[in-house]
Amino acid sequence: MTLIMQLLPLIIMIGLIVVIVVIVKKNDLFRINQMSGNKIKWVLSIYGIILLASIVVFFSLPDDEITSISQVDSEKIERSNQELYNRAHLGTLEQSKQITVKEKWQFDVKEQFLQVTSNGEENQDIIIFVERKESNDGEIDVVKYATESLVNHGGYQVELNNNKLIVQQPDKMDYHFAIFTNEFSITQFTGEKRLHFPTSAIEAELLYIRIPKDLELTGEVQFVEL
Amino acid sequence: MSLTEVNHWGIVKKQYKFKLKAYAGVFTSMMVVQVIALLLSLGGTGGSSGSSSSGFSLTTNSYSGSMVIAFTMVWAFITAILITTKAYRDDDFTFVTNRLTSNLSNMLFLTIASIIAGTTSLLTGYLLKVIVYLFFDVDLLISSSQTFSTLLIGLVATIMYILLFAALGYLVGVLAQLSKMLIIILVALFIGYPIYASTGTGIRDEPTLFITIGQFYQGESTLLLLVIKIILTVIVLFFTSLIITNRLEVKQ
Repeated sequence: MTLIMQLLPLIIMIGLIVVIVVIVKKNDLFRINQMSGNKIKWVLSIYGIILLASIVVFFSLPDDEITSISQVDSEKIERSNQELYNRAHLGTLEQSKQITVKEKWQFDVKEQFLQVTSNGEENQDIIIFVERKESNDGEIDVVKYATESLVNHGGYQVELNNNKLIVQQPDKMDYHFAIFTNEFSITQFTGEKRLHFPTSAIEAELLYIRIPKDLELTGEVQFVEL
Repeated sequence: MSLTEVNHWGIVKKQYKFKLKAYAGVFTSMMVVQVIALLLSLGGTGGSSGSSSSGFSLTTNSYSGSMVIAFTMVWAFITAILITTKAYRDDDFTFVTNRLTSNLSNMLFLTIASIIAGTTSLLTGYLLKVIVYLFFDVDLLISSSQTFSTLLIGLVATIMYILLFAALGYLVGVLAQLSKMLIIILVALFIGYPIYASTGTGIRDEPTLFITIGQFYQGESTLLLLVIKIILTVIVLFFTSLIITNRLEVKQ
């Protein structure tokens, strides 16, 4: 049932195109220069029908596939993203309601040395915060914190391999958004502004690592001083 | 002198009906213009892209029918000029006519044409959005609030804008009938003034006069006031055209 609902707009459009092609072929409308008033009427009515059909289709598009986001929401995303980093610096991520724990890992370290790397391109800053524990318990705790993101993606994954903590980038790094805006003759009255989306709309997450007190750590990370 | 009494309104109606049929090609050109604007809009009207330090990149494209409406406004302007040219003008003399009825039927035709063009141009924007929805592969579709009421507001406002340009075009066409010199002056004004203003020799570095005129309509946030502003302007433009043509000789 849902599949049919999803395909319905496509079926309507294809149906319309078929109908138009048949009519155009039957009436030989491609020869525009010889078009009589009657044929013009035909072409124009078909054009009108397509336009009317598109408006019916547009207003019956499934709601769950089109996100309705206002400028306020977009700013909220930006703000909670800021909060994520500010709190990470202060080590107070747990205290925020907007920030959730997305994933947790725990690794045992035997040696006193750890290197943090990523499988992505070089010179890329993966946002990693490191906090030293008060004791040497031989365990590394990795927590992935995230704020509400506009798209769901797996995000960073972490694995330990011979003293190397490898951060794996998600497979998909490029995102493409399409925004339907109103025409200038409408925005003039509704007062809506152009929606702007920060990159944080898709990647609002960071890794927070707690390491034993005396563990030596290298890699591009930021230490949190509590 | 004629034996049969004719009333003006009857003639205007007759001429208008004739024009709607005879100028049907005008609507074909409108359709072509709108389809071209639609195709150009498929690339997205205004977009941005950015990438973060952590390697994510986000590209956003906006889709709206604004370009279609703008193209249609230009179409209305040109069409209005076109129907004041000699070839079209002489058509009216196949009827019992005078300047007044000829003009009135032209204005009636332009008004109806503006309503048709305004409606189709706004709806083309929805066709654009449906095409993007069906055939574009995007990660997220975002829509600003688009309801039936915004559609109605848009219809009225778009029709008004197109009518404004049609009336402006008609006046330009009529002025051109008066003297070819006027055309050169008008072109010089409309192209030269922005260039002059942007060279820095003007008071400001932008064509402030045009911006002020544009703001008079575009800055209006109440629909009713915009309608009143445009209708008054259109009446002034049409009335000026009437006065000018009444001074012309028959079949000049």
